[in-house]
Amino acid sequence: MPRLKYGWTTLALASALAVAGWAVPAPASAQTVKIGVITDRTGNAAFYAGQIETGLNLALKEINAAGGVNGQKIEILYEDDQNKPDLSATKARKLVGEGAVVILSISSSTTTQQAQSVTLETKTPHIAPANSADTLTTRLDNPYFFQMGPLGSDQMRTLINYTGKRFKKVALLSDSTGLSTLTAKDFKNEMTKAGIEVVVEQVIEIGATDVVPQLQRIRAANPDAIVVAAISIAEVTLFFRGYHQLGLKYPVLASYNLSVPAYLDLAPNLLNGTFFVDVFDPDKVQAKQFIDKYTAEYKKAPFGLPAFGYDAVYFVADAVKRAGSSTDKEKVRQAIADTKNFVGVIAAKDTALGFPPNKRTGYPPKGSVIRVIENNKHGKVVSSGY
Amino acid sequence: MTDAFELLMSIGEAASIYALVALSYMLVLRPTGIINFAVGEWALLGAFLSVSTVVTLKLPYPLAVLLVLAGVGAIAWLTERLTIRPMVERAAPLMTLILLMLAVDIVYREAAVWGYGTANHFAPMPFGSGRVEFGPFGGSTQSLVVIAATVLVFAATWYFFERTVQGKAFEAVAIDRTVASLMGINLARVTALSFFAAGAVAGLAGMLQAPLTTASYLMGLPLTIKGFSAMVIGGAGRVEGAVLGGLVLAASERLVLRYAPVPSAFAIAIPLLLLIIFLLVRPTGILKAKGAA
Amino acid sequence: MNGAMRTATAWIGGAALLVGLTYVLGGYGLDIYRKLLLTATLALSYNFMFGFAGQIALSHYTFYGIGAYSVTILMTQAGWSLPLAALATIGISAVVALAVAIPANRLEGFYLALATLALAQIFIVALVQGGEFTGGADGIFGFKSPEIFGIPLSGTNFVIALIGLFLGTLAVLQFLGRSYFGRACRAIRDNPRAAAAMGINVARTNIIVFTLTSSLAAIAGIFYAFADRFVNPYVFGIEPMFLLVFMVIVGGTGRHAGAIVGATVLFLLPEFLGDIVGRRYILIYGLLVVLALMFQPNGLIGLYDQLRHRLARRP
Repeated sequence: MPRLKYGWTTLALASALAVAGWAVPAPASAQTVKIGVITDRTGNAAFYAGQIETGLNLALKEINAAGGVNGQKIEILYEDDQNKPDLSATKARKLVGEGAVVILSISSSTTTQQAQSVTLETKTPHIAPANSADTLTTRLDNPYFFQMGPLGSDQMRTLINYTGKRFKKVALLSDSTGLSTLTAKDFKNEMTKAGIEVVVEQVIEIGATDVVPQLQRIRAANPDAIVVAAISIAEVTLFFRGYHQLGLKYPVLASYNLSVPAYLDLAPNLLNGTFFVDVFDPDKVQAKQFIDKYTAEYKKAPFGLPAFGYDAVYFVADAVKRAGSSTDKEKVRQAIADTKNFVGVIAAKDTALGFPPNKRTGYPPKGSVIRVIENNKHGKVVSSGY
Repeated sequence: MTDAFELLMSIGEAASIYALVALSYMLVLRPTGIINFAVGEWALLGAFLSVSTVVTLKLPYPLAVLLVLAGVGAIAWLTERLTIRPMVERAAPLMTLILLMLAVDIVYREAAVWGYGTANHFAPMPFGSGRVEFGPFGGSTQSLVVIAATVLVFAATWYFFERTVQGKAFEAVAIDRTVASLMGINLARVTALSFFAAGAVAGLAGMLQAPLTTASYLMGLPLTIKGFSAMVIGGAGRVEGAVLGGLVLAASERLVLRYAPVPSAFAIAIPLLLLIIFLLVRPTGILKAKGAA
Repeated sequence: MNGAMRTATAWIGGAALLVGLTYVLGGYGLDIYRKLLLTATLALSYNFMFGFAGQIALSHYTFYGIGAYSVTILMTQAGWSLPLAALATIGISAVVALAVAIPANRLEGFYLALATLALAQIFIVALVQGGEFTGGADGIFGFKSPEIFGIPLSGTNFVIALIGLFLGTLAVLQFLGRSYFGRACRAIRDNPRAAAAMGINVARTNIIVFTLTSSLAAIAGIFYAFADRFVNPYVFGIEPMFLLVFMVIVGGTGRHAGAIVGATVLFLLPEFLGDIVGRRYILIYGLLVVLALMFQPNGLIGLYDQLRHRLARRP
């Protein structure tokens, strides 16, 4: 039928256009160390990823100003995965095609997971600087993937170490996002192991307009403390508002997601007294230097997330230097896996990043700190490790 | 016992928002027959405009309210003028109009993202975030503000439809467009006004909700669904239906969350299930339209 | 060349072109190509329900998800082989589609849209809360590509299979479109009462269309599961559904070629618009749909036809 034939012609034309875009291989560019970064610029993890990017860019600038790595400059190639898992996989492929020797995933844990299927297939070193889901290294046996964020289980152990035997039964609060569900699961496992009973669990739906009935349930169960594994800003704000609205007084313990200062702006003075896990100790020597450099560059104070980005680039640069090559992915992977005692800005004093043999989680298990929110600011470190 | 009264406040606050959104649907639906997909995004625009006026420009709250109402109303009116009116004049099928509002809805949301980004925005409560207790009732001041504002709006709406000539004109158009125009009622003006009013009401809903949940680009769709559910449950034929539907929806949500032995994650499904049930079993809602068989 | 020869040439030529592209494209391009084939297949089946039969349902991606998850769960949890799992999936999807179609038949327009939207949301909640069974918020991944007669269905082989899916769906829908059934659908779309007066069983036709097209979406879902060897609840959300509606409207509703063109253009455009436009391509699409609905209801394919006629008129 003529109609269909022209339909095919159109498809053919469109396809030809597409082919023009990709069949032509990328030109071999000047020798640079290409780091591919999968970020979220436009989805609902954009806020966090953007903060990490500031750290990445600062490190990039510093390293290149000092001459680069092995005589080559570093180039960061950014791709936006819009916090969509299948798009993340596609972007990973794109970066590999463009010659990235290492891929950094700074979007959410769920998208990092899917990008792994590509990095495994293409044998490309893949690092998640800040993701904390325990399952990232356990559900898929991908020797090319390394995780540098504080594992949910270690966060909880650090919290339990601080609270000691004070809290026997707790309420566990999460939201319906993928990351929060995973974090809550990690938290619950650790608490059960430590003999702490989770007497009530509540999930705040994304888009909820108030959490009074859910907080009433928590109140009815009369826990010793509330553990917050919720991460989505609107829902966490709802929780703190509701908490004050009902006049609750339970101690609040939170995951490292609350180390992002944004919550302080959106629920001013409602978080005072909350204990949270952090990866950033502002008294650490490296952290102090970083604060100075960052403030000079961006005119505002940094916190955990930009520090993760900053450390990530230095980490990769260090591995590439030891590998002696900016294109041999196997050598780079081995260099990453061999990393021990990398002291960065993140993590508690006297701890270092590194991978124990046969493990691909690099954040020191005892490297988290507990801080408290005072006067609507991140207060001092009250406990470290476990 | 505190539980029950706190719950009542919480239900009242949620019911108010849903009722306002349902009212916005009705204001467009009754005179024109169009079901407005974009209602949630009008609320979203109201929320973001309230952030701009109150936080960025630091205008006094009453002025900000007026600006938000006028602003979203104007956007709604403009949309009607530019897209709906020409299509109605060309006798476009109803489906096309509804799809048009779906596309416009996406345009609104993406325009908001362009202007405000995907991060959440803080909106302050006009009367502070303290806890208020009077008699056995306890709740936040914002809950009271929301409920009070809604009562005002509905009182005004009732008065408009029951006691004013223009209100009667609206009713006439809702009952029969052709006859109404033959009686000399200016259809174009009624339609334009209904869009403006619907926009203002939805914008107010967004402005009232923003201090509770922060203004976010994702807040539109849940309101679209819940507001529509409230309208279906209560009955689209009468303004009181919006209030009843809002109450039924909010009450079932909150009570299940508080007392039912199901995991709280399933609470998300309640408005959705109620909607499906009512659509299938009783699409005209609980309250029948006046004069209906 | 007579009509039959023309058709055969078009099909063979088209298939050859599609297959040829498979071997020319590299890693990233091939990935996009695969997703495009799947999207175009979905657009075809959706267009039949939306454009040919006039049902505005928003559950298409839900059935895509039911297909993908069913086959994955059956193969990974129950250990079934691919042919068995695929057949069972088709059966499950058809049953679910029927179960939805029968009550949905009573709804139309916006009511149908919202009811199916609600269903789509419930589906995602069920997946996320499904624990070990559905893989929860993480989804299910890490399983191997299946083998057909010893040939693994991955890489370029997989894409060939996708081309088969695409052409197969097109063939089925083309056949239906031209049959009495297709004419009945269009009659119902244009005027249900007149159609009933003509003796068409409106309810039964609507139910069959919904069940059939949703099942086709589920079949596409079976293929999707092996595209990334990964199924995740958030892939089957509301956003891609809205985008599918846009594709079909911009391409030209009611024409198979329209669905293909719409899917191709709207799917590939962000690649060319690049990072400067970023997310704003969605805004552009919304505007395009508004323009299409207002000024060019026949979509891009309509524009193309007009162009052809104008060129043909030249002496």
